[in-house]
Amino acid sequence: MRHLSDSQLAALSLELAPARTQRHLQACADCRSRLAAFEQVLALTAAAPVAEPPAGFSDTVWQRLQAHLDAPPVRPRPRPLARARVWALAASLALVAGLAWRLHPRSAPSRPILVAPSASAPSPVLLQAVTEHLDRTQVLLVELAHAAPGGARGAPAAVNVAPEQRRARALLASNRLYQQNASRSGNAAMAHLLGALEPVLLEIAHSPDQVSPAGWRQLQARIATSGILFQVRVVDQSLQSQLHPQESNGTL
Amino acid sequence: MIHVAEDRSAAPPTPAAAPALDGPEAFRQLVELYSTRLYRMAYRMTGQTQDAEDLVQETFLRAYRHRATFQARANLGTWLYRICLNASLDRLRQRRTGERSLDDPDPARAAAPVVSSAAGPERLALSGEVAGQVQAAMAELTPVERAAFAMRHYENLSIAEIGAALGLRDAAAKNTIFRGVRKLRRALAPLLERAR
Repeated sequence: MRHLSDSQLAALSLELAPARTQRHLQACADCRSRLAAFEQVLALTAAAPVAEPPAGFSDTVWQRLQAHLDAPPVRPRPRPLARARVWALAASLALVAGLAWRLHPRSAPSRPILVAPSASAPSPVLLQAVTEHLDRTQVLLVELAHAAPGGARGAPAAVNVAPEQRRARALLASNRLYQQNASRSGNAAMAHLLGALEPVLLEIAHSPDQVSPAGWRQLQARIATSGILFQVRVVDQSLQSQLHPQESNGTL
Repeated sequence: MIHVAEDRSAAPPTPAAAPALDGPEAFRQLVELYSTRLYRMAYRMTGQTQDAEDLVQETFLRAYRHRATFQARANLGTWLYRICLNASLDRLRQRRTGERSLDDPDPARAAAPVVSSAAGPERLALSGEVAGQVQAAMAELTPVERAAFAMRHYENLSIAEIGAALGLRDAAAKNTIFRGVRKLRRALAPLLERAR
């Protein structure tokens, strides 16, 4: 029988070991004995004295800090899309946020809510609008990428894409507005993503109502090779994390 | 030389309870929520109460100045830990006279005084000699190992959170913790032998 390494025992003692390591432990008295030594070490260190802050410490810290809080925050340098801050994205798209709601196919028509851009405090509603747009785009692309054309008895048949066309047209309109605003506000990364989305949406929106299986496969191939779905997912995930931090993060 | 990158995104503490960074009042809540936890971490890193106090102050000051770099999808607690660890590493670096790497253990900690202002029954049971040996064993760890071990063992953070705070991938964070535990095991082996 091969015994557990010290690293595996350390992992066990900290409850970080996989199940197979624990199974070995049940069958091996030698490893259980060695594990006990690690657990004693952790017990000793847990019982070791640690300093506690003096009474009223947080008040003291706060009082000292107040004298320094007038300084404006240090603004980060612009970074690539993967690290782009969602706040800046939302601010750059603020002016057209209401339009996304209006263009939502399931929503009743309403007047757009025009909100002045604000780099410091974007509304959650604005973030929601952008997320909604990318969500719907992502769903459309996923459905197209994974749909399998086929007629009765498995024979190849033309595919009716009229529903997808309607969705693509609606997305195209909002996509253009978002892209223009992203360009104007200097959000090059987002403008690039939305610019890359446009030809894909255009192709879907203006394709024939009935697409042949070969044409369908070509469309799927273009979606797959463009990597656009992945890019949309990344940004969409980033926005979702921003909107729902509790769901995307664990707890301390 | 190791320095935890402050612009990496971090993982999560108590998002529901954590205030946003919109203004001084919200920041005051942040101080109330985290000052004690950061103090303990800074103390475990430096072994000095005065340093710990200064480092908490420094952490919040840096956090306030750089609040625009905080990414809301990240976790406030982990972000603060990251800043606190960087400030602690800076402080340890200042203590050194030579150009030794922070991957090396910190000899200054071996002589650090043991402080116990909140001694529970278990802590009181530790004799001064034993406590001194535990302190010395902790000093055998590098600052990064000590930080990783403390975040796991005392603060009960997840591997992802520790990795985010230290700027390490999960596997590297785990290995750092395990290495620390192995070192402690070796350093305290004579003590355990005597206790049998």
